[in-house]
Amino acid sequence: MQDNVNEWQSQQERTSGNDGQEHPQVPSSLLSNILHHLELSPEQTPSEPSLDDLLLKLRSTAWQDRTLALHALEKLKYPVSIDLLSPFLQDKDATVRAATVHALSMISKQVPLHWLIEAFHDPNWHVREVAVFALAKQGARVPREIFMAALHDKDGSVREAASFVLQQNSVDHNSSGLYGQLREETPMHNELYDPTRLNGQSNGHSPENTPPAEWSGVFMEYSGNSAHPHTVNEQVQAYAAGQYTPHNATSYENSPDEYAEMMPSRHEKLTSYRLRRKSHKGWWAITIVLVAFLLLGVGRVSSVIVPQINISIGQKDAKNVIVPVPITDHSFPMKTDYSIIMQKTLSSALHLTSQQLLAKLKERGSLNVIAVDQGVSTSVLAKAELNAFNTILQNAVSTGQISSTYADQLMNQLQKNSDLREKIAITLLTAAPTP
Amino acid sequence: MGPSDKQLPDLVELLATNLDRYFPQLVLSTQQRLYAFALRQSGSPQDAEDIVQETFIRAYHALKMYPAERIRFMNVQPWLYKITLHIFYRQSSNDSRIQYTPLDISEESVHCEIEDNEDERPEKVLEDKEDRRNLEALISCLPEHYRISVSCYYFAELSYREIAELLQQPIGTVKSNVHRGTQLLRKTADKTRL
Repeated sequence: MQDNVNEWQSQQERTSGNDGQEHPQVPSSLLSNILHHLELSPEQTPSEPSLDDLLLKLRSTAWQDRTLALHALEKLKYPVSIDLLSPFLQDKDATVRAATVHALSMISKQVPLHWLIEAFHDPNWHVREVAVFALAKQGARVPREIFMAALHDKDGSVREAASFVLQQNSVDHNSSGLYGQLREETPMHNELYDPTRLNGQSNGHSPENTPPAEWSGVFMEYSGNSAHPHTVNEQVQAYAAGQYTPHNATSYENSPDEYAEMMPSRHEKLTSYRLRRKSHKGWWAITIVLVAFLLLGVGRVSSVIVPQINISIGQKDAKNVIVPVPITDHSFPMKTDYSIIMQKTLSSALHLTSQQLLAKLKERGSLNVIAVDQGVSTSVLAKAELNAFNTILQNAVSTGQISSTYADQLMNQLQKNSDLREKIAITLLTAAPTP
Repeated sequence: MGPSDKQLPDLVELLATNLDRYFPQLVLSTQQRLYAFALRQSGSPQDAEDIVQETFIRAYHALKMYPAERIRFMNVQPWLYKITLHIFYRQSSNDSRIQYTPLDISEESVHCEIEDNEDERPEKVLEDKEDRRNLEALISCLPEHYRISVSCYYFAELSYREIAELLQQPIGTVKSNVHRGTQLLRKTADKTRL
């Protein structure tokens, strides 16, 4: 290597006099200092360090040492626990954080995705860039949307990394032609956001390439703060718009991007029209199926059968009793009148008209989320729900539909179980005739 | 474009195949320009050396983490300037040693008058300078946003687009800063000569 260096050095000296510019003299020790720090000097013979040596080096106060140790750890012949590295994801030095992300991706194909996602939102461009490569190494666990969001990163290197990953992905799946479109930084065509295409379904991808349910777990965990976006798509949107900040984001000392944050950036909102529109398709069917599935696992409630709402709603005899909703061994009385009671009570509590409430429910899918949107506390929402249920159950008792004991039992369950409360409230709301 | 620029594509290919072996050649090929760039920003040889040293160390670690294919398609020179600039920003925010005597850029200042004069072409401005070192000293006194744009455009020979990417600014802003910075430089140089 030294011969190479000498040859290049003399070549540089020969050419330096020909560019017609007088440059300031570079200190002669610069190269040797750099090589020494990188342990590339000829006198520094490479040898495989022991784990103990590396652990010691990881505790060094010099970021260079910690980085070198991380690079060395990923090359060890025996496996290293990823938990050993995870603390360095929060290192104050960006290069160390990036090296940690890289080492994790080299050591394991099953890195907890929330670690990588957090790195993906790091304030430093290089950490984000390495996170893109690390996420790509996780294969089908990571949806392509995340890389497409990175195409709109404010930093060019991150965008290039995302382009590179998507290009590789396209090559791997024989879907050339996508790359050219992905290079565009400015508004993308809607077809690019066709979710079926993003998931590779239109390219004949096998179902195993579809991101597993683990993703929703990652994002749910990541969005523990209710002020933050909840869904994958919302996070992708927020990220693209530069609004996303992890709830536990560390304030890194001496972050080189501190200045970058002060500079004008090109935050571009992703045009997710297709994504959002798709989520509205078949909403009724999805809600009904979801309610059925979710209620199956709630506490003591082992089964809920969604009423055959579609039979009664909109018919002239809509006030007739609808098939009751069984709750465990019991049933919740259903009637169009009860749906209207729920609709009026909740729309009033949430400061919305009945129409607005139904529209919001279609859009947001959760009463709690709507409450947050409206600036109404969840306790106020819960109180309103219970009031509505109380009224409904009293009504049901007074009309002889159910006994008072049974009503008390239902009320008791509803008071204890907020999930159940929400699901039945949504069922009642969606069963109500359109105002 | 200097000779080292012509060698860089080949060197990038070599770096992609064996980083440890060819990294010293990257240092030798680019250290001169990076050092001059850092010196213009910091105004201190010691600070410039520190900045360039850290730039190469961080660059090595970054290259270590890139897939080989990614390295092959890299535009190394702007990328190195980017790292240098970030290190400079960080150091200048933490280090009170880096001090500037900013030129007057108030509205009333004659330095900021924009002239539609053919003679204000940057090449012409540079040709008029007797001593490049004096010019570099003047550049280091420019306000930061002008200094970086002028330095990147004339000395680092980056395109407007590359500078815009580097500084995360619109191209129009970069062009304006280069233009105004050049104006300011020209006026100051004339004044100094008088």
